[in-house]
Amino acid sequence: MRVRINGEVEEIPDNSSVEDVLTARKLLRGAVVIELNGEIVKRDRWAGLRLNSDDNLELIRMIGGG
Amino acid sequence: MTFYDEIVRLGGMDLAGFLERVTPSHVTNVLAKSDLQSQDFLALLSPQAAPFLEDMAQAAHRLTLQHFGRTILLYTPLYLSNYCVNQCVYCGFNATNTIERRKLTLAEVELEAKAIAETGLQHLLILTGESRQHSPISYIRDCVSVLRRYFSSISIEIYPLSADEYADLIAAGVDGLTIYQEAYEEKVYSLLHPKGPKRDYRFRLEAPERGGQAGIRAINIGPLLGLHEWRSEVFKAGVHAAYLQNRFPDIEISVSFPRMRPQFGDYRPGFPVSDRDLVQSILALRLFLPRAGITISTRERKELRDNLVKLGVTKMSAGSSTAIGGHTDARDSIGQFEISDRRSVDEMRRGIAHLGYKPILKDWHDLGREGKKVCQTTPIS
Amino acid sequence: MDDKLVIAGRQVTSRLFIGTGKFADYSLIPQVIKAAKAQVVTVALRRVDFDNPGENMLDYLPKDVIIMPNTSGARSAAEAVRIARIARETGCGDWVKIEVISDQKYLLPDNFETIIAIEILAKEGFVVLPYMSPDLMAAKRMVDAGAAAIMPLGAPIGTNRGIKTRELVQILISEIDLPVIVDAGIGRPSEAAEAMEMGAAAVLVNTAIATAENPVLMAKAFGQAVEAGRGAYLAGPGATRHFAEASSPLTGFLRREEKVGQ
Repeated sequence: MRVRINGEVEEIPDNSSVEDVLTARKLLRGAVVIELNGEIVKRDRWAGLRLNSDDNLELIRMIGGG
Repeated sequence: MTFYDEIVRLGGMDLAGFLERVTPSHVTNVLAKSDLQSQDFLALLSPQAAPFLEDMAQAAHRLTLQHFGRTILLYTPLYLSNYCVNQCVYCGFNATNTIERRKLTLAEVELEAKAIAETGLQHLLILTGESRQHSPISYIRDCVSVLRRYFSSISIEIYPLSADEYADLIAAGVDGLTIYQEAYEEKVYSLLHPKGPKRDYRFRLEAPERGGQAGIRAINIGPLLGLHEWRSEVFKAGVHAAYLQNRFPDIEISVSFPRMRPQFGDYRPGFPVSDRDLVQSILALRLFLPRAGITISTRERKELRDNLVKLGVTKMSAGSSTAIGGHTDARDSIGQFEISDRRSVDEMRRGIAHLGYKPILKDWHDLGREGKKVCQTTPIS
Repeated sequence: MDDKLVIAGRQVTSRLFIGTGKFADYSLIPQVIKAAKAQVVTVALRRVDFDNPGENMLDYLPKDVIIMPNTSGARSAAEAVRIARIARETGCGDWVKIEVISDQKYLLPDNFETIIAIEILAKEGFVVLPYMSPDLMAAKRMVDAGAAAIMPLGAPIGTNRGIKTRELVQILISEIDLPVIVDAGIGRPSEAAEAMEMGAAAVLVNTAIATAENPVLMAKAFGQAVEAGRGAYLAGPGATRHFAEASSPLTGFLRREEKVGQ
């Protein structure tokens, strides 16, 4: 199915969870915050929350800033 | 949070101890600063600051010129009624005093207005004793609607009101609120006000901020000098003015320094304030609050008032009578207190001009509600 | 001497706040923090760049720092609120530096949108430190909206031009009861000291340290300058006399009258 991740349309396996997307990109859990369709998804829901087609996912992290 | 909380906090501080510990170098340090904190103000009121009076005067003179130019605003009081239910031990209108009680009819108010307006004055201060029976809000409102045809600015010096009542009078044309706490020290206040609604120290103390909330343009506060130790009283009045300036940045805040004058009755001030003390008070306040108005009434004699013009004073009363109907009635009725400076408005105007200052008769014109803010976002509380 | 900086009830050990942007290498950051003796450290939030994931910023921050994410990138109150909520989700605390910039030419903050964002975030329990243009009425509204400190700019971000807004910042220091922290524009330690001598509660420095030839040495210099400036402020100005002896005394009448017998 197609979802939008950080503004880019991506093809991911049907029934993927939020956690699966992170794992596929080898992202460290601790550093990332996730918004799904504009709502923050708490960390403890990542594994259980299944994505739907056309979902909009934002993966955000801390960087240096002033 | 109101100013009462601040008074409670100040009550817990050792002001006398602080005043004792001030050193001359502390005073010179304060004089070198451009932005004074309240403890700096207190240092300038200390006995140790007295030798620096001339330095303080030069600095106060400079600051006053910078903020106000060479101007003195003139106003006059109009006593509407002397009915009073309070028993302030120091006041000629004390309910237990057997004086003739009267209040002006609206026709008499108009006659007084015409007589005052003929002198050129445009700023009026109306006063009553405290009697919701004889001088209720409705009476004051009616008087104001007569007076506003003659004057550009009308201030009230009456019993303390609720915010809604202030709003009512503001809508009728009142733009200034004068209310003196008399004694900031609550224990002293209780002794001086044994009976009547004025016993409520807190309701009176918070009256200026209720007026501010109601949208008044100008507020004038002060201690009645002579009732208690002047250093702490002037200090608290100054901190009160700073509080009001901070909370209501758009309101013109002034401080008066009324000294007890002989009046009908046998009260004599327990804490006399000398000319030197009065001058130190005015100078310290000017250095603490450079843009605050400072008011001196005709309670003070001509020679002293002339000398105070250069020391920070910005407003003076002129052609005053503290008796009911005193602007038109030649009869010698009994006033609230005795006048010292008996010059006419004309003589005052010439006298101020002679000192190199400009007497101001009008610095405010009410355009109705047109000037009200159109854009309200987060209100400043 | 008892001189503590307290923000939202928390005691802060250093009056030098450090920004972590523009460093060539994250590994410099812990050395910079240590050399500056800083405690409050700002960070930013961005989308993960999958092509260039880089390192985890948090790995470089000592455990005892207070992390203050900023809302850089926000052009409106709504965007700032959204970024602040995301920031809190990282689990690094409740502090947030509100930064709303809709002007892309001078990068000057939008006080109006900032006030709205403060009001929303303060109600949600954030410790809100707004970056702002030094305007007294805006600052008062920020205080009322629930800000924990006020952070006026000394000069536009990243310009290293010093405290060009000196007069206006001085007014905020005099009139605002919250800590006033000079943020942006400070290019040299002498300017940091100047801000502290004026009575600023702290300064926030990023570009001047990050772009120095030797950022760690510069961080140390800033730390010393901030301490020196604070010390000078506490010591109080020397009593220089602004006024000469009066040629015509204003209080002479008091002596005359006293002789007459009062």
